[in-house]
Amino acid sequence: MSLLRELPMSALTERLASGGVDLLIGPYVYRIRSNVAAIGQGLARLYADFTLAPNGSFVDFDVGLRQDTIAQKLRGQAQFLFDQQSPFDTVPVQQAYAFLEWGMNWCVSLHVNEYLKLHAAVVARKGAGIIMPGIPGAGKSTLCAALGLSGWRVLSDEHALITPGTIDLTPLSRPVSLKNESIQAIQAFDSGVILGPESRNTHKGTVAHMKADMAPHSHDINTVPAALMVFPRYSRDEPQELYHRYRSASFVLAAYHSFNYSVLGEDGFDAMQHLVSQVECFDLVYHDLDWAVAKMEELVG
Amino acid sequence: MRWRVSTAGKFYDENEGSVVYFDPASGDTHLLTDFAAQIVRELSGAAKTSRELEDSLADMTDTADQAQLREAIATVIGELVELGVVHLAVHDGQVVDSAPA
Repeated sequence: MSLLRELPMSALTERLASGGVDLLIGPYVYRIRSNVAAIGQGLARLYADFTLAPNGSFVDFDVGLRQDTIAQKLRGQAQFLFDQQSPFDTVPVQQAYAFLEWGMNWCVSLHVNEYLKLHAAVVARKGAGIIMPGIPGAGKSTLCAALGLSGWRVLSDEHALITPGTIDLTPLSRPVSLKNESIQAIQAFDSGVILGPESRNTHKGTVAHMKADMAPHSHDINTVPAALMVFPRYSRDEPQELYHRYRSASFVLAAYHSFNYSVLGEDGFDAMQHLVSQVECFDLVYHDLDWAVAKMEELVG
Repeated sequence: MRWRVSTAGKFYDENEGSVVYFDPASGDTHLLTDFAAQIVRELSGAAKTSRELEDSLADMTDTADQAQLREAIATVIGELVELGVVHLAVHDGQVVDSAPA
């Protein structure tokens, strides 16, 4: 099977604009279609080491970011497509790349219920999976990016996919979304970071995605057992600390951060109980990435 | 008045002073104190009056002050009613206000 990087840019552009490019991403096949230049550039930069799905593969998510009508071209707008339908309003074409990534997240957030899904970054070190739930702005993506640049494996920046009744985490490795000051913070942390197109003035401010599949076995689709749940919180004004959380309080907070805990009903409770009873839970308050990464290293011994 | 839990739910209790309770009737999950969780457990088995709860919970609390215990139970019952976890026991459309003979 070949990697995206093996496709010349001209071939990638042509395939995106016609039938689409099929990529293996975690357990899924995404078909991506686009006639917007930034999409091809972003994919070539951030998904270079992703595998092209074999011809005839079942496509789980068919997504696109296209400018098709004259009105869209005149107004500089583009449209996110899912199964060639338009679930959202058009967006400025300068923000197309960020919207493609958000749309790819949305596919999993909305349509996948075979897992207990938490809104969380997931990383792994020495075979131990760490779930880091958090609201947007909590600092989970920034920490996830710093860990990815420090030799950790990034399983996901957005979704913890837990098979109910187990502690198994299914990897869904994709680029890490960085926003506003986090972009400079990560560039300062590692000047070698590979970033995709910058999308300015989005509803989240300026957004750029980071190539996150640097660790060996980044695209291994085998599950990784969860060992810890860490709730990160960036705070410039508080002392940095790492401390144990009660499991019961962690249960409720993790449920709050779940995309489908309520949808799963009693099965969701059972799945969360199974998970929380088998992982240690911590709060991590940080403002210095080197300190936070060192603390995470301590946690996995 | 007798109180009851409409559908017995599930508890996640790690002896941490707080207990996670899943209410299957609403699908909601609540974080309860040990004391509130014990009231829910008591009312999951059978409808009980506040007085019966006082008797059941006396051993669990340090307080020797019966009035204090009564007040604590009333407060927690009020909160559990607000959450929809606990209801007045009703039989044939009538509030059941005493223990069965």
